[in-house]
Amino acid sequence: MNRHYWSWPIATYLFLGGLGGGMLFLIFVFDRLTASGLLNSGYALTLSASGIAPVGVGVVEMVGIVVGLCALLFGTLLLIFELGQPKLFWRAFITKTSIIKWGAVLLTIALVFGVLWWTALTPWEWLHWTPWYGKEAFAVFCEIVAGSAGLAVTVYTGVLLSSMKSKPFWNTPALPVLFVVSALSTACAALTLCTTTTWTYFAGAEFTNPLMSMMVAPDQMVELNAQVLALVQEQAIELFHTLDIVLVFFELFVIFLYLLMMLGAGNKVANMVAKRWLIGSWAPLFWIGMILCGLVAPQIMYLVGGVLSETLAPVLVLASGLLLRFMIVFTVDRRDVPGEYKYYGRLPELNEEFITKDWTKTAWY
Amino acid sequence: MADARTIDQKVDIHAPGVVVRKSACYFCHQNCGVLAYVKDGDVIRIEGNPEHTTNLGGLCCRGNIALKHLHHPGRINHPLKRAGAKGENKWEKISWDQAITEIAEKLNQIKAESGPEAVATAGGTLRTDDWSRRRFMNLFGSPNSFHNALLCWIPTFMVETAVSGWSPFETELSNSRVLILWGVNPGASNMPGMRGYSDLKKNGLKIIVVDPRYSETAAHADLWLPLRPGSDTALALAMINVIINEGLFDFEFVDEWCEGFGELADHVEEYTPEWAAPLTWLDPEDIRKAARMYAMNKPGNIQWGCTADQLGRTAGAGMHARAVLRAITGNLDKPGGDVMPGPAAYITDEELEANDRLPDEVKPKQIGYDKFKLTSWQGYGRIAEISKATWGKAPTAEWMCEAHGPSVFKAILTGDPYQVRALLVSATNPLNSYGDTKMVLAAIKKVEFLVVCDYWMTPTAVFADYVMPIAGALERPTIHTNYGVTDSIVATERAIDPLYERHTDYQFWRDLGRACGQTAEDWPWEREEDVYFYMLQPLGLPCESYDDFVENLGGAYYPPQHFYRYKEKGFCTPSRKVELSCGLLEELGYPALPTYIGPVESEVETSEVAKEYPLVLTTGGGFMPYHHSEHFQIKEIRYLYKDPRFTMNPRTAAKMGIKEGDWCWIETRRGRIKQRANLEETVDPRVIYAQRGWWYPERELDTENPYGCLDSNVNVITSVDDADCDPIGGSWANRGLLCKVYKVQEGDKVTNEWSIPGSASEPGIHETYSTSKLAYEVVPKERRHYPAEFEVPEGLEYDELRRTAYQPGTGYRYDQNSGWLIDDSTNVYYDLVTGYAYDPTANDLVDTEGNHYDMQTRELKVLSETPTFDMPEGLTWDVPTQQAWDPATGQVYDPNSGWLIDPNTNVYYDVVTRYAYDPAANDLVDAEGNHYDLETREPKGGAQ
Amino acid sequence: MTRYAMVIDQRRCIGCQSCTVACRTWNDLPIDEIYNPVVSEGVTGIFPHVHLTYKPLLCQHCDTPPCVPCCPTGASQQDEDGIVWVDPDKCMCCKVCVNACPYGARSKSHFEGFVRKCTFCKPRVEQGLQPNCVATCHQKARIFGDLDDPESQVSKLVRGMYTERTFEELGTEPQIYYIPDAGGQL
Repeated sequence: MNRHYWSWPIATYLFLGGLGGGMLFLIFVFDRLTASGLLNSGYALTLSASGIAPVGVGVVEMVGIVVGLCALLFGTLLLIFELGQPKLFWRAFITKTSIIKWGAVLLTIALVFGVLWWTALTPWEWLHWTPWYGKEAFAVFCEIVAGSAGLAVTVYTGVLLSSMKSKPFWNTPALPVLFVVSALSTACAALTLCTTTTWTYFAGAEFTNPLMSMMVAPDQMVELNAQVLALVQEQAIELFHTLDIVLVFFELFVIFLYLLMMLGAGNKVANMVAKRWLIGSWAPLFWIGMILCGLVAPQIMYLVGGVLSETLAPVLVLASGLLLRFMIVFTVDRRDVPGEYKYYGRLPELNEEFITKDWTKTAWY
Repeated sequence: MADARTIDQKVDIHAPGVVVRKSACYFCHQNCGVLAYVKDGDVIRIEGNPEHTTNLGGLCCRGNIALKHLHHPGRINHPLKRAGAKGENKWEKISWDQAITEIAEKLNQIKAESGPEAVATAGGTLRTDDWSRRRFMNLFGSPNSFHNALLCWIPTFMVETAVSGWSPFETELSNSRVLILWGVNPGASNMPGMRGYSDLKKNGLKIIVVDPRYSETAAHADLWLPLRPGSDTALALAMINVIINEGLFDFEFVDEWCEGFGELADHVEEYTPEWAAPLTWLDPEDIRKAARMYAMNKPGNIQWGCTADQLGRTAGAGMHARAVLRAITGNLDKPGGDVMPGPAAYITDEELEANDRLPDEVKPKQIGYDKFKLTSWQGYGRIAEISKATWGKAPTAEWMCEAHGPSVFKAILTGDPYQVRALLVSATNPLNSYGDTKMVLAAIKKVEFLVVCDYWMTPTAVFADYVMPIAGALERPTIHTNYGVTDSIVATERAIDPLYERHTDYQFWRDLGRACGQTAEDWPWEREEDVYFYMLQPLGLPCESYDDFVENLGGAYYPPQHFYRYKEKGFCTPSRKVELSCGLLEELGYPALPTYIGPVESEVETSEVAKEYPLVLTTGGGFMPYHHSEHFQIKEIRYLYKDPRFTMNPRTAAKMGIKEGDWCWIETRRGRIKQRANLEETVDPRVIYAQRGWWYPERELDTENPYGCLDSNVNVITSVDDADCDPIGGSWANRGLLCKVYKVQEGDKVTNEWSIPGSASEPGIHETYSTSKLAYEVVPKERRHYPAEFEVPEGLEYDELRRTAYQPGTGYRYDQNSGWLIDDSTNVYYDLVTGYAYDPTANDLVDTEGNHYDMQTRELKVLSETPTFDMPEGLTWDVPTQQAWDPATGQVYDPNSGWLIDPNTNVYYDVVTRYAYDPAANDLVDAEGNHYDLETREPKGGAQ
Repeated sequence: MTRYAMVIDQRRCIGCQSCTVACRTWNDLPIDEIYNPVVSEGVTGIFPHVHLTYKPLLCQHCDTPPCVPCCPTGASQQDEDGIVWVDPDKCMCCKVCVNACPYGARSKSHFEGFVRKCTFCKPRVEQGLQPNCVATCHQKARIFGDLDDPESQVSKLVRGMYTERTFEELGTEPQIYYIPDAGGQL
């Protein structure tokens, strides 16, 4: 049945959850790698937030954490907004078994520890009153927790859908894989954008820029000259591009594998949905929107390099990630008992006159 | 949540103050039992009554929406008087009494100016107390009441009654071994019946379904005959042929109880299965198979089904053939066969109709009287006469004795045979339920005075001068009697009094009758419950009131079924036998034997029409959840069945490029309608099955096409031309018509141009009642006579129907065995020669003055003033009786034995002692019990 | 113990949708909410050699209902007698159960702050009555009762007749048993 009980808020949430969780996770990974010296110092200037104290470097990470947390927060708000009774959202924490409960817990952990992590490093002086400010060990602890929770959130969004026995197109362990890959690739693209944006602002050397002031204390700004910044930006972009090339390639691979699997599966509904993607009503959006514009084009841009690779390519990857979630949510069909399609297909819309007619306005009422 | 109640089911039927009433569904004929949970004068919930004998708790789609129907905001709740031009849909709410008074004034005025026959009434299906409409009309003096009954079993009833004396209508299937469901789909129209069939099928009952469509019922058949729509007559005739040729008929029964079998055998010789094959599209072997299955599994029966009544000109012959099938297989009136109950023992509808009050001289004015004779006063009058001679009661005139509806509408338009000026419509929506809607629409618009009694503002009601609000389900009691042509009664009570100003149809006709000048004695019953209780009276049931009958006796009366009733008096026909060659039909001018006549249009007989219209249309069948043209307002069920759909074979559709759900025109020579395509392999590639009744109550009113009643309503394309109607019963043609189907294009419109006869290409009136011809010439023949088998004494009149001679004037019956005349009402015997009554006391004859005559010599007995024998002492001589008796005790002296005899107790007393004779002890005994010797009259010794 | 279950005899079902309507009216369901559609894959075969069966659907009241463990609020729950129902006071309407049900047995398009579903007419069953879809069935194609009672008609039928369950392969252990119609014979 082409009846998606979840609509755009949930699709967006699935995207934002993956994005935010992925970003926290990637930042956590890069930070640990730089801190442990596995990445070189050039990256370190950009990436290691907790490794270098006091704050001032690790700008991309600081921006990334905020963007990631915002994505998670906005996603969570959408989730609650989608609820029929938002005021009962707290009940999500009281059960033992449900996946949504674990999602809620993971989201909460990621959000809380993400905020703690960031506040432990924040450049904003007015937030320095917190007892944990500047406590590196604590920051690292929070980072580990938030980063892990972030990864778990990306996995959970896929697991939530793949647990639905009712939806053969979702009901496969490949879906979490697809979601994680897509989440990481979009997260990576988002980090590229963060870098580009940050660098653009830095390059202008306008330290009064509000975004800048949010990230870096003004007195520390002077230490960062344009040359260093250019190097830093170049290295970061290189890293993210390399990673995203791998992830996007992998994502393409997983998507096609996924669809082939669904085409070959015994289940008619799964077949039908896969066909809907490949040759059906959603095919233009899939081929042109998601594959060509969303994955292949940015891939080429990444490989070619240049301005587009730093600006448009990550935006397209993000858009394709969003589109993927929308398509996953909107094209899905429930497994049907033979005849259900015909039955529901014959039911009228709610705006039909025989339903909406106000009989009390008739001449004889 | 501690409270177990879920979000649904907020209404608590177990709350204090909730009363359960045993009411009934009123949305079709079954009247399934409903438990109504009533609180504060309103029904809060309903469900099927598990104890009700009809439905055992079951309720269908429409049964379940009773509350939506009851409280629907679209219902008409107050009498409405037209406030604008006709059809403008402007209304003034007036009181019931005002409406009744004004309607009565107008009717009386028309009656005074144009005669009572200028007032006609149209009734609906069995959803009213329609005998009350007939009663009103009879008292008013008009014969012009009509129904759609001519499409619904009535012609079948009449033909079968003409052939075999009654129509098998009672179902007693537990002993049946085979069942033919001929043109009936209980799976969609009679749910309780379908349950019964399913149960019996489990026990081995064979079911043959005759239906062009693979219906819900055909899906459960042992043998399905998907015949060409409208070819039922050919099938029936071929089955007769097989049964006779293969010797499968019941020889004993045919020999003893059937007339004209030899003629029939000769007559059906040509109707072989091979002859029928191209007409019915059936494999001859399948016809043989069906005939064998039916004839070789006895007892079997053919169930009630209305298709036979909707075939137009071929209908009558088919009914006749089916009546013959029932008879030659010997299935009539036997357990498990076609049981013929005869009129009921309770007061039948006919007895409530006051038919004797309709003057004989207006009967020939009934429109259709001289055309469709069997179902109007000519044929009905004969059948009533025969039936009264046999059973003492007649079938109901309402339904069975009708003006011809389409002819009435045509009379409104043409003034031929005379102008009908007023039409009272009760419980029907002629624009949807009568054939040739465009013509009916013109008539409804034209008729001078129109009153509509309905639940809803129907396309017809829009044009009314007065619309009267009618109380329906739950607001009225129901009594399910089949108007008295079967024995049983299933009764239910009203759940609540009618809401708003709604009244029942009985109240309408009663009030209108009183306002027209009919007397209180004409309408003695205040409420329905009073009438129904009156109907029950002859049964002597132990109940105080109608509601008492429902509450405490279960509301059901099923007398023990009696079979083989014909063995007492013969069949209820003039010949007292089953008239395979039917005298009554012959007498009215119709073929005495079932004679093939094809459907109205066919690829065989009208091949030029078939060139343009290559498909065969069938319609008129019931389908869930709607009933006739009802319930389209109820969104709870309309949501499930939003659009009209016609069924066509996907292979045919593929050739025409029609896809599932496409809106298509279905066009016949008379016009076109649009429905959506339902592509299913349930019909032959040459057949179109269209749904009936559709209109769109939710639409804004368009007077040219009120509520879309010309859009999807199959009656736009059915035929009511006189030449297409069955001359016997007047059925018009819903089935077996030729049509074509094509997709609806943008900008296509419907037209309301009408014509007589129906034609899309030639609008206007081309024939009228007196100029139109029937399908074949009707030449009345002389009545068959059945002379007396005994010598009828001079001066007596012989009654052929009763096979008895009667004395003119007195009406005393002549008993040919004893030679006496008998007054059946008092059971007094009269001497044939002198006319004196027999006096059993004196064993002589007595005249009206009390003079006694001798039995043998018939001479006046001379009364002796003194005893004619030795009278013992103490007795008195009575001169008139010529007896000695004891005035104190009343004992009479028997001079032969010498004893005194008490005439009441027959005890003997000793004339001397007055002691009684004790036959046990062979002695005398006194009042104290002392015994005395018989000879000596001495007390017996203490030995005892 | 009581374990409510239903047997649906497809040999008797004629697709009239009385149960659908009975459910709608008894439970005052919104116009676009259907708990028990009667579906059919349509006519199979080529005229006149055709066959038609109907399948009434409703909540299967599974033994391992996917809609209960997935509920994050505990509103979607199963009683000891097997009835799966939703407590509207606890439901936050996240619709995860709606998505989780393979039978489409929960609210389809009408959400008013909670998810609705068939409860076997829980209040009726608690009063000793039959669910309304069972009571209303003219054809007596639905048989409801206690599967744990060896004397009940449902347990006799489930034991003695060939029955099928819908999507049994999913391991949901549905408790609606269908007696299939093999070809129009009872």
